[in-house]
Formats: sequence, structure tokens, C-alpha cells
Amino acid sequence: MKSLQVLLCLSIAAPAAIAQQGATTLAALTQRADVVAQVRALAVDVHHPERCRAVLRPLATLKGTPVSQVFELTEPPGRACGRALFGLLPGRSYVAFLARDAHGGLTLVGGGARALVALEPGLLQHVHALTTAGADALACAISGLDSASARVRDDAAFSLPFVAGLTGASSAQRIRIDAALRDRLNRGERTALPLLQSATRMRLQQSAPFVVDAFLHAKNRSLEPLLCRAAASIDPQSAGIAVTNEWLELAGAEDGATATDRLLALLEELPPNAARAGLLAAMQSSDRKQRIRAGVAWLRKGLAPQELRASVRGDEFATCELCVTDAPTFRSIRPSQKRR
Amino acid sequence: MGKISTLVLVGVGLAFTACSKGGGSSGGASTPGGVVSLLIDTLGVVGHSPADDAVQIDVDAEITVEFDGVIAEECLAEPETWLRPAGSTTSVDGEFSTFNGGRSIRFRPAASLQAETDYTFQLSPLTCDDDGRLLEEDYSFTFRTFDSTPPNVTTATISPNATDIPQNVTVDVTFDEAIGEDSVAPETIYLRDVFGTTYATQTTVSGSKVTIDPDVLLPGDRAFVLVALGGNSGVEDRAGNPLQSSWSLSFRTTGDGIKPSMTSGWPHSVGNASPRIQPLLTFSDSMDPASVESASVQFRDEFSNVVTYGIATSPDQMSVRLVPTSPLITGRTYTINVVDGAGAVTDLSGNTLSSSGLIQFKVGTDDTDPAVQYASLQDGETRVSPNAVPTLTFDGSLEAARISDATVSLTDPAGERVAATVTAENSNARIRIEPLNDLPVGKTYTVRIAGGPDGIRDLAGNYMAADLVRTFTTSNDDSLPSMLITPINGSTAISRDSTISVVAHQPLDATTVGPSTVYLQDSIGNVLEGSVQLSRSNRVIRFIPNSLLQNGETYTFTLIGGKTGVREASGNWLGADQQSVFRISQSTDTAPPILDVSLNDTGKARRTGRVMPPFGFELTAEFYDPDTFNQDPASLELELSGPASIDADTIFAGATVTETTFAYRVPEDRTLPAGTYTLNGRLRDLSGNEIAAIATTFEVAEPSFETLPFDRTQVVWARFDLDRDGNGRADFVDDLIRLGLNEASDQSAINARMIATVRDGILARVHRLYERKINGGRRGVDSVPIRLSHRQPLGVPFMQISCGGFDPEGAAGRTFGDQTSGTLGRAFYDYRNEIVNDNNTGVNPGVGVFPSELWLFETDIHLRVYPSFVTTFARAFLPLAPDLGGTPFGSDPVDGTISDPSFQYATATSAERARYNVVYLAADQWATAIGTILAHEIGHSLGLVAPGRTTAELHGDESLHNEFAGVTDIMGAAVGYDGLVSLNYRFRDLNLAYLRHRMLLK
Repeated sequence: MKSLQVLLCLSIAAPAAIAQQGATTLAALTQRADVVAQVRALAVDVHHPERCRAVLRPLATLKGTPVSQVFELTEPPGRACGRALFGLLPGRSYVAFLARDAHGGLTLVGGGARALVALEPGLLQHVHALTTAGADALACAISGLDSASARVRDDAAFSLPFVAGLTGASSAQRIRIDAALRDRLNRGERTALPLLQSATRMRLQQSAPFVVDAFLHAKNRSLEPLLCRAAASIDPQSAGIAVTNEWLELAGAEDGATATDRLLALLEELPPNAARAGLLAAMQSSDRKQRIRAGVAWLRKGLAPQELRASVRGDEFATCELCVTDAPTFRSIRPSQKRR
Repeated sequence: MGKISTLVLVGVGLAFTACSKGGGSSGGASTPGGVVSLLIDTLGVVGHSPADDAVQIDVDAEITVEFDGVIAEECLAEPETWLRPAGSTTSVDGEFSTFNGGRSIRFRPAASLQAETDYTFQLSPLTCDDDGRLLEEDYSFTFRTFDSTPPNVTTATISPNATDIPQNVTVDVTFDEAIGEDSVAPETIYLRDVFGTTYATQTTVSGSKVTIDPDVLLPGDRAFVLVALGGNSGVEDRAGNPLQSSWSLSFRTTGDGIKPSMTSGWPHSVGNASPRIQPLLTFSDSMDPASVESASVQFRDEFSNVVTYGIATSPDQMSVRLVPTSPLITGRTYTINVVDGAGAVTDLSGNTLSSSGLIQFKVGTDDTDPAVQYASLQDGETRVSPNAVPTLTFDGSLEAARISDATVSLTDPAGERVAATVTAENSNARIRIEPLNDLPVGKTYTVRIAGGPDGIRDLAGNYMAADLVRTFTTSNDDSLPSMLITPINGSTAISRDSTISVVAHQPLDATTVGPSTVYLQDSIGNVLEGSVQLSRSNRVIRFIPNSLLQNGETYTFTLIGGKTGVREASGNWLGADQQSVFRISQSTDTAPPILDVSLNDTGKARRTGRVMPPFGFELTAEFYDPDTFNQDPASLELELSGPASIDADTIFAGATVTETTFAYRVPEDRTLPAGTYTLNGRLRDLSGNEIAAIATTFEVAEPSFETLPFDRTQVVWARFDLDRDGNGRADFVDDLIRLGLNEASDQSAINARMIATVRDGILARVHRLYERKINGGRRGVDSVPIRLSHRQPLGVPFMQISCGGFDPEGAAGRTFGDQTSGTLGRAFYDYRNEIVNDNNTGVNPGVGVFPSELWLFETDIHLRVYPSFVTTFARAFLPLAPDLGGTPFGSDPVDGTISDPSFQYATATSAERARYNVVYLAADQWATAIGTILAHEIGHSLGLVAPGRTTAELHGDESLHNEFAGVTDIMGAAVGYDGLVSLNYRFRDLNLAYLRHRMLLK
């Protein structure tokens, strides 16, 4: 039988947290930390009922006032994702991102476990590069994309979309970002998402055909909404041409198959001049719902109504006009719902 | 159990509810034998009084509801259980009590109800019984109290004795209460002119409003009176009280000096008119039938012989039909001269025709009425597919202008029109009626084609003597056929020794499967010889060519759709033929496909040592042919053996099959005894190459409270009300103010409506992610037994979780431009949901969901990249957030309008629509993002994700998140605002199996 928690004053069950990877990348932590140090865990006490405690010896200071003495870190007891100390192994080395509190003591920078990183090949060099005065954030991020360290690779990707100078990346840097995007998309990795954002922000043209193709044909549809948006943003004209060609190819097939909803979704995202030809092709679909959808998209983009009228049946034009006045649909909210 | 279980030692006097008292040995969902049930049941309403929509209810009546369980009385105090006048937010005072052994409740109002009033009684979704079963969705019904007061007219859209009223006037008459529709008829509401002439009207009732629309354009400059008859034979309210005395409204129309014109005449220039033709003249105004006579409309043959005729008019009197008293003569030419000037036809105002008109036609030999030659649905036909498109083919072309909604209708059992598109095909000989949506099942529909002179007609002008009426009844199956054909359409590497297979998602009608409905053709259309076989509980069709297919040739495999094609046992058919076009490869396929068999579709890395409950879990498979994509799903055989067994055909019969996946849920009526089981799988490709999957061995065990997360539906109180920063305002509202979704100084209803909209949107998002309806109810067997509320539950134990503000463990006093703590939420990890009332509202440690941390992070990025780049967050909130220079919701002049529940987007101004889009798209994004985070944190307090890879754990990592989490994994780290608002998040396989009781943790 499930229990009711009677004593509320003792927080025994440990909290687990959701951290935002973008806010706790190595670059972000380096920037926020007062001190970045390589440390070795000397002792860890996880059994105390009131707090978990670790004793750390500094080995090298990478940023800030050098830490010369052994110091302690504490946090509430129990294992949890917001807690860094539970899994520490005495004798192992870590990179710690520390802040000084009001009393001059040291605490981990927000993000908890993300601020205490086990040493692995590539990590120290990367953090060194980040902490070097005048470091080129963009170059650091790009170089991190190929690191041997999984943490460095992932964080480099997460920090990339909003790093200063991204839009001014050199051709060699663009090639590397493009290569990383293709690799991560092919593997279906989470870090494909920030790389897509980077490609969008940079208008990375060499990625455009790949992204469009990934959206239209990838079996793994997890990233579909973001691929669609990226495909429409990076190079709208070429995306429009690709969609139109694909549609015409499908329409010309012997069985007269109708194209997938993905083509329509991409047309809906494209700006009017890029979507025009594809929408006209879509209005010839043998599927009435697709014709209507294309017509509604046409009107919503402000394209000429008379051209639509000439392309669809009279009753369907009337339906498109009606649908344009439909309120947007929402994923979560219901604005017109009566409240109690 | 460790630390968590030791907590349950000391009672601190919490008010345990009746539901928890029942939670002992027979508590939760346990069976009499003490074994816990895998299925968490809901509370059900057996009946209630008054009945829904009842009228003439005594003002001193009590409201009673009977349930299928003993009600926990504490839950009757739920704020969402009430009796209210319809549309009111004020509840009726009264007292609840139970009777009937506690299975019925009674609500006794403290005072008499108001007479003649509509009331709504609602039960909260958190209404529960002593076993902790919840209603889970609100339940309501309405009734009207005793009404002995006659209705009265309150307003009309025309003032009494008004003048200059347009000829095409429509009058709305509003009463002080709803009017009974049956009491409104031409005898009870009528329009007359000063001369006593009655004018036909179309009269409709909508609540208390009656709309009167004359059929004709009324004569100009004439006095009229509109009458609503009183007394026993007159207009009545819903309760049957008649209007006490007749009501009348006098008015005068505006003058009409405009001469009418003849806009068309038929059958002008027709060369083969029917001898029984009835020519039609159409005018620009309603005409006076008395002015149509042989002098004003001269009907003669080529020899100047006068044709005598009678007349008939359309309801609007804008068309006049001439009805010759005897048939016209074949071969002769006839002329109809409609004169102008003195003696011409006139409109109802007396204006003569503006100019003359002439019609000339020749009579042919065709005087046969059009008749149906073929109908796609026979009269009285049953087992009609919901996607049916009735067509009627006549014995000749019909006049296209007469084929429309006016002459062709499809109606439902209540006589209401079904929205459909009416078109003419095949040189206008066929009428097609295509419903816009699939028809509801199990109902009888009526197709009506109008006969008579105003109905359809052939090109000669012949018409049916009477309406053509056909009825049909839809099947009882609301799922349309889905056929998976292999090779799939577009395959190019098919081996010449392939067979073609089809998997239907439901059993087929064997009589509809044969060479005429299933066939293979080559590229020039020749039909190939072969055998058609139906097997595997009539779900698999296999076509076996008699000879090898030709290298390099393209073939088309066809399943005939429609009524005469392949049909399911229920009767349903495909909307159209379904085909697969494929090409034969030059080489022969000798490589077997790949087959992976699992339980609950669990990834390979997480399968070892899983323990299943006796039923409810899924046997799943994934397969494909890497070289040719030639895998044959129809050949898949999964067999379960052990203390009990389920054979391959039984499993296939109940499975869901796609091109590459297969899933069968072990039903309760196949409950497996405990023990060790083996799952074997075999699959072939179309060339017959076979693969056997590595056998999967697993345990089945009896479930217990310790191995399952739920013994009843888990209720979660999401705390949007907390003010943890102590600024006197709820932290959730502070969030909305920062975003610009609330206006700081505005405490009006506008702010309150947005708070409720976003709050309910967050809860809806969480419910969706837990596979529930947005209102918290269950969608089906896949729903996780969890129910959120924004109010404190009264009758059940509940989890609490704060939602709003900053991370309490971050720096205090942060504002725009400050650093985020990096943590979006934190919750107590509760192993196997041992504690049902986790409290995630504290500040030390800081637990809950921290939306303002997301706000800090996104605004920080925006400040760094804007204006060279506009992030998704910025695109949404730049127009609103005050720190970004936006106009907060509540500040724009149209905000009151767009937030009003009566706002109609379709008729709004462009400014209103633009603002609506900005405000609500931003609110929707925010609710989606925060709801996803809230679902994640609640997941921790339900036991996700137990770290480790043993049978006691759930493949979580050290951080209590899923190992190697995918980008859309709810129990992974957040990937950013774009991901939170765009991606389709889901719980991973093991997480979902755990939450759904489809696996047991040892």
C-alpha cells in the first residue's frame, strides 16, 4: 500500500532537477564562475542525515584567484540530479566551476552536477582554451565539436547558436559546422538541435539541401518541426524549388499518389515568393483536403486570390476563404473555454 | 525501500480522508484475494435526478446522483461540485448528504430554487469513492424548474409602426424566455398586409429569439402586420405555456418605383424540348402572379396558335412557371413573348416590366421522365461504410444548373442536413453527394432528389413526378479500412519470385476478396494469372502469381475500393482503389530480413531481465529488409510459450501491424500465470527468405503494491497560488507579468482570464504528455493514472508541486538581465512512488517548477544576439514583454475584446485578429514549455528514473534522468526553448511501461 508522507519537515527524499543544457555549458559555467579549478576528491561523506560533504584538493587554478588549500563542498543529502557530490569518487580528478559566496567560501556554480565535471581526455584543454584571456568563443566552440570528450562535444554544440561572431564565421568554420550538423542529424543526437539553430542563424547555405532532404525523408521524425522551420529559413528559395520538384514527381507517378503532409508543412513555413510554385502544384493534388490546405496557405501568405480562384474549384475556393478566417489552433491553451 | 519508507512512523495529525482509510488491505485497486489489480478503475455515475434537460422540475426538488461506489463524503465539498443557474458563477447554497449505503448523494438547496430557471448541476472530476476511484472528468446535467409563466415579447428588430422598412426585411422577435420550437408554425406566426394577404415566411427559433424571413420581396409602400398568436393554439415556451395574448407589430415598407426585368427564360433556343415542358421565366423582383396571363405573357406556336397555360411560382415569386394545359406538339416551334408597357406583368409593388422578353424553342420527342439507371447504394442498404459517397446515375444527361443543394440533399436520422458537396459527373448524368466528413456509424441516412417541376430535370425539361428518396444505414464500425500492401508503393528492387501480401487492420469479408477485387497487372495493363488467398483470421490477403515476374518490368497491384471492392467484415470499404506500383529487380533476393522482437517496444539496451505483469503488456517486433525493403509483415509469427501459451495466429489476429512494426497487447482474458516465458518470432520477405529472431525470455509475476507505482489514480495539486518571494502576489502571476501576458497594475477580469488560460493550458499539456485528454479524463487504456488540479483536492491524498517564480536556490532578488541558476525545476525523487503525497513546494531545498529561470535564460540570449537574430522566444514575446519594449496584455485597447469568451475571430477586425494571434500564440508556447517541465518534475516524484540497469531500476543515469535520452524524451535534460515549444515529447519505452503498469520492477 502506498504511503502518506507524514513528516514534512524532514526532506529525506532527494530532489531531482531538470537543468537546461544551454545554460550550463562549459562556456557558460566558465563565464559565470569566479574560480575554475582542477581538483581531486579526497573524501566524500554521503551518509550524514543532514548534508552531503566532499573534501577537495585543488591541483591547478584555471581561472580566478588561485585556490591553494583543501576546501569543502556541501549540499543537501541524498542522490539527485541537482546534486553533484553523491557520485564523487575519492581519488578521481574533476574540473570544478566555483562561485565565492558572501563569506568567501566556495560553492558550485548553478547547475549543480553540471558544474563538477569528471576529467576525461580533451576536457582540460578545452576548459583551458575557454579560460584564456581574450579567448575566441566561436573558435573554442567549433574546435570542441570534434573533441574526444562527450561533455565537450555536447556543450560546444549547445553553446554555438548564440555565440558572438557566429554569423561572421569563416568558410573553414562553416564547413566544420556543416559537417557536425550532418553527423549529428544522421545519428539522431540531441545536439543536432542547437546545430540546426546555428545553421538557421548563419543561413548556412551548404547545409540547406541536406536539411530539406532530412525533413522530407528522414525516418526518425523526432526533430521534424524544427527541421521544417530550419529548412524554410536557411535557404527559402531552394527549399521551395525542392518541394515543387518533389511534388511534381509524385503527382506524375503512375498511381497518381498524393504527396505527404511534410511537403505541405514546408510550404506553409516558406515565405510567399518561395512557396508560390509549390502551392500551385499542390492545388492540383487529387486529395481534396490537400488542395484546401494549399489554398488556405496561399491566402494566408497574401498571394493573389484571383490566381487561387483560377486554380481550384469554385466551392473549394469558398472553403479556403472560410478557413482563412478560422482562429489559429493551439497545442495547449483553449482561449475560448468557459472558466469555472 | 531505504529512507523513504522509514518516514512513515509518526502521525502528525494530518486529516486523513475517507479515501485513505480504505487504503488498507483492501485499499486502492486490490481484489478480494489481496492481489493488487493492474487496472485503475474510475468512478461511474449510474443515474441522476432530474434527468438531463428535464423541464417543469419542482422548485423544491432535490438533486440526487447514484454512483457505482460508496462516496467519500469529504469530496462533496470540492469547489467544482455545485448547482448553479445556467451561465451564473454563483453556486446555490445547500447541503449534501448520502444514502443508499453511501452510493447515492443528495443535494438539498437551502431555499427554494427560482422558478422558470435553467440550472446546471456539476460534479468535480475529483469526486471519489472510499476506494480512491475518481470520476476524473467533470460530470454535469441541466434542468429547468417549474414554469407557469407565459412568455412575453421583449424586443423586435423593427420598431412598432416603423416606416421605410426595406422590402427584403428579416425580423427578429425576442421573448423573455426560450420558445418551444414545435409551437412555431405558419398558423402561429404570420405576416399579413393591409389587404389581408398572408405572406409565407421562413421562421426559425434559436432559444428566445424567433427569426421571421419573408419568402418574397415585400410590396413597396405597404402596411404590414406581423402576428405571434397567443392563447392555447399559439406560440408557447419550452414548458408549454402559451403566449397570453397575441402580439402584433405593424410597419410600412419603403416605396418601390423600380421596374422589374426578366433576367432569364427557359428553354430559350432548346431544339428538343419535351412535349410536357413547363417554361420558366425568371425576374429581378417578386412578381404578382395575378398579372401573368395570356395578354401579358403570350405563348404561341409557329402557326400563331395560342397555348393555354396555368402558372406556378417559386416561393420567392421571382420565377414563374408556365404549365400548358395540354402537351405541346412534336416538331413545332413555340414562342413566349413577355410584353412590356401597359398590361405587362408587374411586381408585387405594381411596377410593370421594364422591357419585353422573348423565348423560342422547338419541341422534340422526348417526354420520358428521368429515371435512375444505377445507384451506388441500394434503398435500405445496411453495412454502409462511413466514408460512403452516394451516387445516382440517370438514364440521360440532366440539366447541370438543377443539380445543387437546392434539389439534392443528404439528411441524418433527425432530418438535419449533412454537410456535403453535390456535383454532376459523366456528362451530368450522375449526381454525386460527397459528405465533407465521414458519417457517424450505426445511423440511417436519407438521400432525397427533388422531383416535380422545381426538381432536377433532363435536357428536354422532363422531371420526375415525385421526389426520389433512398435510405441507407452505416455500419457499426467507425474505423475505416487500412491496408498495408507489400511490396510498398514505389519499390524498385523486388525479386521476381515475390508474392504480394496485404495486411488489413481488421478482418475482411471473405466474400469480397477474389480475382475481381484483387489483381496484378503488368505495365501495359494485362492482368496476370495467380491465386488470391485470404488467411490469418481474414486479415491477410496473399496474391501468388502463377509464374515468375519479369526482370525489369513494372507491375501494379490493385485492391478495389468502394462498395464493390474489398470490404471489412463490418462492411466498411476503402474510399478509393489502393495500389502499389513496383519494379522487379534484375537480381534474386536471397538475403533474409532483419527481425527484432521485444516487450513493450523496449530498446535493446534496456531489455535484460524484465518482469511482466500477467496481462496488459505488449509483445512487439520491428523488422525490415535492408537490401530491398521487401519484408513481408503478413508472414510475421510471434509465439508465446511457458506456463500458458498464445499461438501465432491468435497474436496476429489481435495485433497492430505497420510496414516495419508489430504490437500485440496481452488482453485481460488471456491472463498469464506466473512463471518463465519465451517469445519466439519468425518473419519472411516476399521472396520467402526467412529469419528467426533470437528468443526473448522473461518472467511473469503477480503484481504487488511494491512493484507498481499506482494503487489508485495519483492526484497532483499544481500550486499556481504560492508566493514564495513574498511580494504579495503569486509567483505564477509574477511570471506572466514579466512575459507581458498580464499587466502589473491591472487587476481586472482581463488579467484573471489570461491567468486561467495559461494555467489550464499548462495542465492540459501535462495531461496530454501522460496520454490523457486535455480536461484530465482518460483517453483509453494507454492513459497513465494521474490527474492534475489547480485547486486543493479534498477527498483524496495528493502530491503538491509549486509552479511559478525563480529557483529558490538561486540568488535572491534577480531581475531582467541577471543570470539564471541553470535549473528549470526540481522535485523530490520518490522511488516507485512510495509516497503519494510528495510535497514539492519547499524552498530549502528549493523544489517546484521555476518558469522565470527560463525567462532569464531566454532574455539573456536575446540581449546577446538581437537584432541580428530573433530567437523563437523573442519572436513571441517582443510585442508583449515590458522589458523588451512590448505592450503587455491588458494594455492594448482591443485586449478586453479578444479575451472575452464571446469573441468571434471570424468576424473580428484585422487589428483584433493580429493582437489575438500575438497574445495567444505566445501564451500557448509558454504553457507548452512549462507544462513539459512540470510533467518532467512530476515524473521524478512518481519514481522516474530509477538509476541502474537491473530489474529493479529503469535505466536512469546518476542524475536520475534516462540514460542516453533522446531529444524528445520527457525525462531528459531540457534542450532549450525551441525544443520545448516545438517538439513532440514523449516518455521513453521503459518509463511508459512502468507508468502504465505494463512491467513490474523487482
